[in-house]
Amino acid sequence: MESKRNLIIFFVVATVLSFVIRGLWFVATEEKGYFQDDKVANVAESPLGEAQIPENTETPQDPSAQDLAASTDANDGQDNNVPPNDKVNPQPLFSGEYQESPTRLYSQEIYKIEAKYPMVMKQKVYELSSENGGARKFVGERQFVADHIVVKIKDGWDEAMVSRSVEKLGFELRKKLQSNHLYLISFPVLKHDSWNRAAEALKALDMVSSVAPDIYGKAIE
Amino acid sequence: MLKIGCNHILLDALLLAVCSGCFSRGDTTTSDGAAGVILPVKNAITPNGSIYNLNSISSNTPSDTFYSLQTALFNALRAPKAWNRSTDCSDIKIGVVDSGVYSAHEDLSANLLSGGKNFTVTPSTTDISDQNGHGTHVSGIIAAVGNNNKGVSGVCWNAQVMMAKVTDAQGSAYLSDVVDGMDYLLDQGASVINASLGSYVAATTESENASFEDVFSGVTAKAESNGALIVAASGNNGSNTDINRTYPASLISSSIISVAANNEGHASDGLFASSNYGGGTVHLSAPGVTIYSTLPATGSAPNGAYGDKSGTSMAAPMVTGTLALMWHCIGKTQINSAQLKSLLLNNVESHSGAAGTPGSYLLTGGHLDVGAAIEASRDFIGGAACN
Repeated sequence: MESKRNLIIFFVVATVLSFVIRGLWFVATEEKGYFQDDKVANVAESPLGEAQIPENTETPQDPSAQDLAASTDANDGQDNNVPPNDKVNPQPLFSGEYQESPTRLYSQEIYKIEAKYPMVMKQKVYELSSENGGARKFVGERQFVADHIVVKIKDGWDEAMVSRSVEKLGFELRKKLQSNHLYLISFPVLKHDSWNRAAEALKALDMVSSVAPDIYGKAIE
Repeated sequence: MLKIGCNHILLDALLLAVCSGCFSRGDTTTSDGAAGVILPVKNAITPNGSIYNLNSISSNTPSDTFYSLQTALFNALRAPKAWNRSTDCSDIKIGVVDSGVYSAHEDLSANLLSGGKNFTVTPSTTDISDQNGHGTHVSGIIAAVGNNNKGVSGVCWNAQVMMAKVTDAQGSAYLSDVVDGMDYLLDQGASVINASLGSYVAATTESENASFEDVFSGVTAKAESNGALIVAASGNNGSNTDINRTYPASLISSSIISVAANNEGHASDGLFASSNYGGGTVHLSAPGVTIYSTLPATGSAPNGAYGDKSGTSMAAPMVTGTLALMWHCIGKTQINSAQLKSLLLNNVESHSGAAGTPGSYLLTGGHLDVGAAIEASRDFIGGAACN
């Protein structure tokens, strides 16, 4: 009789635990939101967030091959931010989408190249229609450093104060530029949208006047 | 690079619609930059309306070997008329942000300042050697030694040019290095900075544009307080920069002059098909097609080579050289940068109005005229001889 009662208690506890675990998993995946399209191509992430490029990775799908072909209507075919192909590792370390607003979406790929700042983000910009089921329209493409942000700091904040403030976010002061109040703030690249999230975190700081991508690409003809 | 030539005729209606509401750069051709100063003004809008008839002025034609290939200089820009007045820019420091320079070039070295800084590596160095060739070409357009029986002639025959190397061998650059390079040149005392480069930032929102403006605001503020001018190439995307901004050319600052490329010296008076334009953002045009200038040494030309390039990168240094020539002529302390900018922009030659080249594509509606600019400079100092 007692063993039967124990068995019932066991099943009840197991069932409750099962629901608790499934509930926690559901919450965790729901919180990912726009992470869902994240394609981390077999990249092992170290505790420091340094991505290690595997030998065999999935070839990334260009989400906009057709749109890109038609892009000349949208932006006159601008492509000067795309570096020479021989400098780019053909496999992205991370790729995925980031929806900045209801009408603006980025398709992002992060590569490691041979350059002064090796981590680069190749970002395709789409406008989302409020009609047609949110159809996306390709409007441009740009490339910038994936693991730092150009930050303009307000008056009254010195280098040490800036350094301390960004360290609280887990970021680092990479460089103080010659131009007054400009800093390069670096951060770990853990996902395709690490840059976007770092930018949001920096913008929220009182000391920050503005943030901008460190655009990288062909600058001269 | 993919280049899509714009169809100006098809874009005309769009352009006018956009430009009717475009922002003011606060530096239209009518502003003189200083109260109470009357600047000589040539009608910049009406074709053939120049108040400067340069026919009576003799030409000073340099002896340089390849000068006959510099059709833009002696034809459209009327540079030989200007050189009859002055060829010297030597007290005006000219900064160039580019790919470096071949500093041993036989036709350039005399006009280069020692020093310079290379921002393309960490930490920065003093190696400003040019693995691309672009910076050497641009420097030659500004300041190849003139009348020395060799090579080509720069707009300035005697000059002081210093280099901030910000682009690598492939011509790629970081925005942060461009900002740093310009800031460095200002700290070194540059009065005119040539930026034949640009970061196209693609599909920006107004808030993003504001961020880019903010990033450059330290540089433009320093240029304004130093009394310096920044001449920037408008870019070669065949695009309207009133809509698709390019930095630094699209910066809203009284220190910025944005330059488109035209076909002057060649078949037509129109804009170069790949040149960016903008009735609210691009000030004037200058020749930018098949421009002959200096290049780094090759095996067959160990003292420095020569060749041609096309684009707004070649148009901007013609404006840079002209500003230096004007500033030297008037006297550095006799005119401030805002006045000088207005003097230049008020004395452009209107585009002929040929199909596809309406003045609405440019703030001034016109192209560089070195001859008229120097005559206006002389008028500014009461008709006296240039310094």
